[in-house]
Amino acid sequence: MEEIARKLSSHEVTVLRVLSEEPKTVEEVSKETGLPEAAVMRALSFLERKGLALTEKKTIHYWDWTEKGRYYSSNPLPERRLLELLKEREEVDLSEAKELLGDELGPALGLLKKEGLAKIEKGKIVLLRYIPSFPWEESIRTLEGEGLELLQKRGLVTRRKRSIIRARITPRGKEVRNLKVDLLERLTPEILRSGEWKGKELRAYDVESPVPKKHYGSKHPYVEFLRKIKDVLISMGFEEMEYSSPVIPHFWDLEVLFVPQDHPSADLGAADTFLVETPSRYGEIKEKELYEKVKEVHERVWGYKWSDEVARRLVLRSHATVLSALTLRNPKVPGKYFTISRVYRPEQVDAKHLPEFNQLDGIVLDESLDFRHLLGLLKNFAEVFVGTGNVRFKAGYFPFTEPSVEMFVKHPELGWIEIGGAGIFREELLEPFGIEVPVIAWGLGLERFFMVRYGISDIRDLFTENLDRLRSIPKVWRL
Amino acid sequence: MPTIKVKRDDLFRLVGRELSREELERTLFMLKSELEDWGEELEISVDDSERPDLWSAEGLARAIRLHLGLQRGAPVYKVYPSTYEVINEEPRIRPYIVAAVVKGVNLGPEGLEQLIQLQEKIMLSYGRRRKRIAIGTSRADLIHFPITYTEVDPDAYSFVPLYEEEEMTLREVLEKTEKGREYAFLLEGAEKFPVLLDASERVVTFPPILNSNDLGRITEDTHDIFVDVTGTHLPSMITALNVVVTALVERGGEVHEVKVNGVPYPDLRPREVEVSEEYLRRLGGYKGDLRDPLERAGYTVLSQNPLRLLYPAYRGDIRHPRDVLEDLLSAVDYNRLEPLIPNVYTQGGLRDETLILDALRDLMIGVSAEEIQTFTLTDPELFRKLGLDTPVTLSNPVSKSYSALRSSLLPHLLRVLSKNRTLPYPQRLFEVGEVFTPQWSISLGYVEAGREVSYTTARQALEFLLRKLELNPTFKEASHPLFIRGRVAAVYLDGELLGYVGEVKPEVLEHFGLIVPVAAFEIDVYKILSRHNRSHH
Repeated sequence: MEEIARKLSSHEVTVLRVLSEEPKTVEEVSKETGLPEAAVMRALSFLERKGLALTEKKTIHYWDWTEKGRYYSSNPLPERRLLELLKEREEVDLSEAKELLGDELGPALGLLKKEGLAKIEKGKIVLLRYIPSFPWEESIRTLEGEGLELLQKRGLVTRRKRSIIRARITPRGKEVRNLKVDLLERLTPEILRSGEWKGKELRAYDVESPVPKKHYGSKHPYVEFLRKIKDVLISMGFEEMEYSSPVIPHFWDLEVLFVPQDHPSADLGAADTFLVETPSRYGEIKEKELYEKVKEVHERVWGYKWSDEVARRLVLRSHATVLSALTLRNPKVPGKYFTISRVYRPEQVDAKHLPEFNQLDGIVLDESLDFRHLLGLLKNFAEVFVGTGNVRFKAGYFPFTEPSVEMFVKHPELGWIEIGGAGIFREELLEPFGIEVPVIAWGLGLERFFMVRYGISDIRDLFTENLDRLRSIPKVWRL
Repeated sequence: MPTIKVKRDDLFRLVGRELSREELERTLFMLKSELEDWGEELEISVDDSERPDLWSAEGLARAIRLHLGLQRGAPVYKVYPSTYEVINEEPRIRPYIVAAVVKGVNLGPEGLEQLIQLQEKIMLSYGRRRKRIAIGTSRADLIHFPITYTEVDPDAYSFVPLYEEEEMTLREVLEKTEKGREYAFLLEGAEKFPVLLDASERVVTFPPILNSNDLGRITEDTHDIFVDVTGTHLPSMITALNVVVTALVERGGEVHEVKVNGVPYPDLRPREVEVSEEYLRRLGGYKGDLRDPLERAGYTVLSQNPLRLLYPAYRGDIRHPRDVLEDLLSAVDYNRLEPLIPNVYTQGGLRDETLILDALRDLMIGVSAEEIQTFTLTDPELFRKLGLDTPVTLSNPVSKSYSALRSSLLPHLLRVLSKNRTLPYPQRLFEVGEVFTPQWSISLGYVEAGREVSYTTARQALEFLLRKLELNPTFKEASHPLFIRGRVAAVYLDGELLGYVGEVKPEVLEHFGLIVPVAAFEIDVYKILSRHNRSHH
């Protein structure tokens, strides 16, 4: 018994204190204790579970006004208004009465005629007899009396039901209430300093009941996911490429990758790439020697007239292989590099497309590499990132690699899907950089796995500005 | 990357036998293609933008036959000598023309569909929206040879364009027909327009726009076809002609030469290439037989040491031994090669940017802030209304909301606060990301909203970060469009501006519909990084 008393929460104690053997409604208890009704209900349910109080739910039926009826509860009914008018004037034009009472005229007139108080004569309503009150006029004000049924038929009052909860104390509740338990509600610096706590007990909490939700600092799940990918790549010996601006001359977006200026994917007019308007439409390529060599290779191999204007046009990088190309300026051999970078495409935003997103790209440089390593590398990525070596290779096409391959993996939920591509950089691309060893270039698309894993079906959610949505995504602690 | 449609029955008839869906998928996989839709009509996407020979039922069927070994080596095509002639007067705007006549073709509905599709796909992608290549097909039996390819005054000649009823001048064709309007830009600025006139001075075709309805209207029952390719880039035009002509051969056509200023076209003799076997084996990592897969890739092996090969004239993409290597390995099938993990030892590592961002993000979690990611693209109007600028803007934005690059992280963070007004306070948010002022950099932005926030609380958080990074900032009175006068400081590290901290102006809060105080800071991460690198090296 004491155990129970000690564990009562302060709300429970307060409520218990005002309960009696006579049932009280929640409303009454709330008034007496000053606690909100919801708190009273909560405390009562705990008290009842402990056998200290009993509650009963009763459904009561009662009369209530309809919306229209509520108006007439404090205003005269139409028949009264008509009767008062007749009392004053003896007779009234039908048209005038209609103007005054609108749709209410019909029922009001019907009532007066039925009670023998008025009649219609030559388009006029004529008073026959006057009475000061109808029985239902009292009922519409008080919701009591004989007139209620008539009012209900007229749609002015209605019968409603409501359940009320009433509670009373149990004998056990009384016993507990009478126990003198001297409990400390909380520790304070004062109590600790004075030693007042000695010999007393602290009130026990109901530790099993829920507490209000609160949010703390947390990392963005998608950023965290990308960060975890970086960890996996460094564990495989990959070095992160230098960070750099996505605002670059077209030269670095495509030409340097041996994509001819008139290639469909390089067509500036075809709007596959964002073009920069301000502060400047053109940029400089610092690597003069490289620039001239690339130009020479293009004109020799592709046989077209190079345009400096196109090469210098500033764009937002459209793919992350740009970073790989930048790395080729001064790479280690052997070397393994990766980057996760923001890339831009002029796409309409929808559930599947964003104008900017992140791409994972990398290169491997070594004398010993051959085509089988390309397949092995991709397969290894599938094992590491998707957890399956069940892969299929498709001959692919990228303008800057040959041979090129695309990899499909058997995903447990998505079936066969393409997750990445790779190829050996063309020699025409490497030539201007003076690189003579084979260079494998690869790229992986991983956000789909992130989306499936975290139940995200709309790619816009990766950049959501809705905190509820963001908070609902669990912590990413491994891939 | 064209996607083409072919009738399944037609494709299998051309291949010579039926294939199961699985077999077709597997084969297409090694032809850089993917089956997108399986039904009476197949939809196939072909990845390679330099293989127009795969962009038709006829070409795909041929490649499938080769891959499956139903046919081997470079296909042999006979070109019959003839008296057909084209006189090229080299119109300035597209000076080249090559041509051929194919007789006895049985097009039928499928063949006609394929011919139109192939022409369109080649002109659009390989032909760079007809700039580089335009292809015309006409009724060889109705044309009076020789044909003259010349340039004429736009009003000098009239003809009835394909599928039209009335006669139009060349100039009118550009205005009155759909294709005319679509491709008029290719003739912009030209005083004279290119045209093919037959011996009776009738317009055969008006490249790169439209054919004549009288001479150029091919139907299912047309048997004798004159193919002309005009353009600006001869090598790819030759490939395009060879692709179209050899596709028509698959439908029973006989190729007859057409002399252009005396030079006979098409030249369908296989081309020769010499590749080092050692190179193929070394870079391919392939040890098996070479002859079989090369033959199935459409090469005729002339000799093996050195490896001398013939490849078909419809392949314009073989420029380098690499291209042969890819064909070899596809014929072997990538899936039959043993994947090897590169045996390359290297030390992995992260850039300093990643490491400092890790540290900053960790510390921000420590101040109980939630990380946000927004686009770097933004609406310049949002910035302008706040008195901020977006120096980097785009020429071809898709929408106004994404037409500039952000110069600060704070406007987006404030917008996030504004979108979450119904959630309890305090709310603390941060973002790390790129900004463009117009110099590119990485920023850390922080906002806190709640009854109790102030300049002091925001600065406390900032000082906590910097203290943990062993940095000693100084704070100087400043002004900033987002912050209240007298409640904003510029933050300096050794005299270098790091960023700002302050309380957000009520006008700004009102703009975002916020009815709770907000304090914020934004700092330049690269300044921290450079400061660190200086003091630690």
